[in-house]
Amino acid sequence: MGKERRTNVIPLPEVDGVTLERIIGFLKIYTEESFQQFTVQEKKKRCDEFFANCKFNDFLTLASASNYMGAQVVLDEACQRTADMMKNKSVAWVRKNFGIKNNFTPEEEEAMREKHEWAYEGVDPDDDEEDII
Amino acid sequence: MLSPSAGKSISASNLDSGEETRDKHHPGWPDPFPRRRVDPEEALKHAILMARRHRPVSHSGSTTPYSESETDSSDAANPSAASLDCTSSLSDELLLRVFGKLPDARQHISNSLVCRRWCALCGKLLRSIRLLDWEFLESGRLSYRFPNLIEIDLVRACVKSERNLGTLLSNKLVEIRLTSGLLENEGFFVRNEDMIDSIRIDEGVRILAEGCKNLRKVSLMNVGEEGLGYLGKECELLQEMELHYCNDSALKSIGSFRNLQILKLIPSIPAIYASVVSDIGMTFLAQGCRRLVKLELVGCDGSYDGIKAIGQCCPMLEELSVISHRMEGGWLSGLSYCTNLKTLRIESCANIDVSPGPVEHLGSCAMLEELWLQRCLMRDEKGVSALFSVCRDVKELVVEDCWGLDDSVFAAAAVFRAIRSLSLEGCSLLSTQGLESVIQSWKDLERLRVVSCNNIKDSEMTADLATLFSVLKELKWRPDSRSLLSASLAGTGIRQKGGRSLRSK
Repeated sequence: MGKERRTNVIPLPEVDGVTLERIIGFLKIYTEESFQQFTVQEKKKRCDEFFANCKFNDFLTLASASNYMGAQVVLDEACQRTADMMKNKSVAWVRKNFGIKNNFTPEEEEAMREKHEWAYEGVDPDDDEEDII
Repeated sequence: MLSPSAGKSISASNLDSGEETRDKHHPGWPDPFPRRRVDPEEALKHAILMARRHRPVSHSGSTTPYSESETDSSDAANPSAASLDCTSSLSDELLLRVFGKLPDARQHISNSLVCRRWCALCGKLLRSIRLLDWEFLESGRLSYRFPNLIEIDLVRACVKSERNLGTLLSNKLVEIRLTSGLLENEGFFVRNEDMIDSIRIDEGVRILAEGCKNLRKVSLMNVGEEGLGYLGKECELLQEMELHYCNDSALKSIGSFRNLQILKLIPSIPAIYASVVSDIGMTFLAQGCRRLVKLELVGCDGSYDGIKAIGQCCPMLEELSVISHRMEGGWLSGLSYCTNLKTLRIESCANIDVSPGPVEHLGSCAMLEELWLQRCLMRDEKGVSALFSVCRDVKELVVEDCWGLDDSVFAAAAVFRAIRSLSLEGCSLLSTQGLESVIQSWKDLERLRVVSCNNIKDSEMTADLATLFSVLKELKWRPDSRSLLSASLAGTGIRQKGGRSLRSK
């Protein structure tokens, strides 16, 4: 077996070219430490710039890729923005926009909705401290 | 592996096999509990099992495609973009990270209906829950779906009630749904018969403890000795607990909680329910929970002996709240045994101490820093002055909405030699003179707050009092709604400090 002519190529099967370029672009400008030095507003502004023109799918692709590459800031932001998109959205909305197929049987789903309504409710920690007269 | 004991607890009415019935009230809709072979409980179990099975293997950064992939898209319009599950390429870990950034925990419940995978994942994220239906717990489904619970409130589920029917009773201490027939309840909204019995509660608690080992905070009602014992043994991280309608014998096993630091014992709430925790229970508590830092006793019986036991055995106790107490006279002198007590709160008490005994035998809590009196009846001079004597080293006194606090009762406050801060709100009998004669003797006073004390009038302000005010670091003076003090003191150079400065009008 002959030697590889180009010895510095590392194949990244999980990341596509476009995403890779974007993340590298980000990493070239900021390192972990240098990014943390910004104020909250500045961080937001720079992230907004980076994520401008991102479509829905892009957030997830970026999240996946940056996780693989260890780009922590991009990962956090991409996850946060995905979460923001699904905040307060109904089940039907989420299924439609994320393209998820409902794999519950109708009986299962019915039963789960029933239980959800009256078996339990998730409590935010703050609720406990509210004074109800 | 968990074995949910579904068989035992499913109520008989839903298991009859038969044709599907229509809901009686809404004939067009299917009956929510269809009587057919595939019953909802089984369907649910099946759903959870399937969700677990279909979860893709997760390594960080891997892109294992989701096995039950949506290759046949029902969305004919655009086969490539929207209908492909864009989360399928994310590992479980990554998806959990995304979910973890959702601000509202209730979203997890909604998300768990999206698909099986999300159901399994979201369940893992739910940390805090309030149970409404006891069966959901005893069937094992709760601990199966939400294994990472840290906090759980079971109180509402302990009271028998029909689904979301009935009146919701809620106050500061408890929130429960009442069934009809209140009028026959002999003076209490919730009687023993209205609650799920102890044995069944213990069994449910056992199932909970087996499945949710990370619990740190639990609220229970009518739990028995066995249930508490099991919970303490299995959930070693448990630090905070609230026990409603508890009694002495249940507390026998409270020692099994090795890390319990915050405890609220609510054996009785006036007009709502009544059980008894006496010196016996308090002694079990004292001997079992040496690490107690914060204790709230609501509606407890007991006496000097119980308080003394707690004081002697719980050296780390820093905060004690006594609410609506039913203790025998003389309990105050037990407080001096709580040597590290920093905060004492007395709330909603009809009396402080009916027979406190001679002052020489009262002792005091040397480390005490704060004394809070809220919504108490303070007519008994002896009781109040005994309390003040025990708390003579306090630095901060807060009195809120207390009745009967007039000049002669308040005069006992002169005993606070080291006090730095006083807050009076809603004390309508105290006069300016009564206030002045006490605070003039306090050499270290730095902060004063007087709000809505209708008998304190600006017109009775004396020069001495004004001088005293001028050396305070903080002053909030609003005894009545149209205080003229700020206007008349303008320009005298009283120091201002942030939001607590003198309000101009």
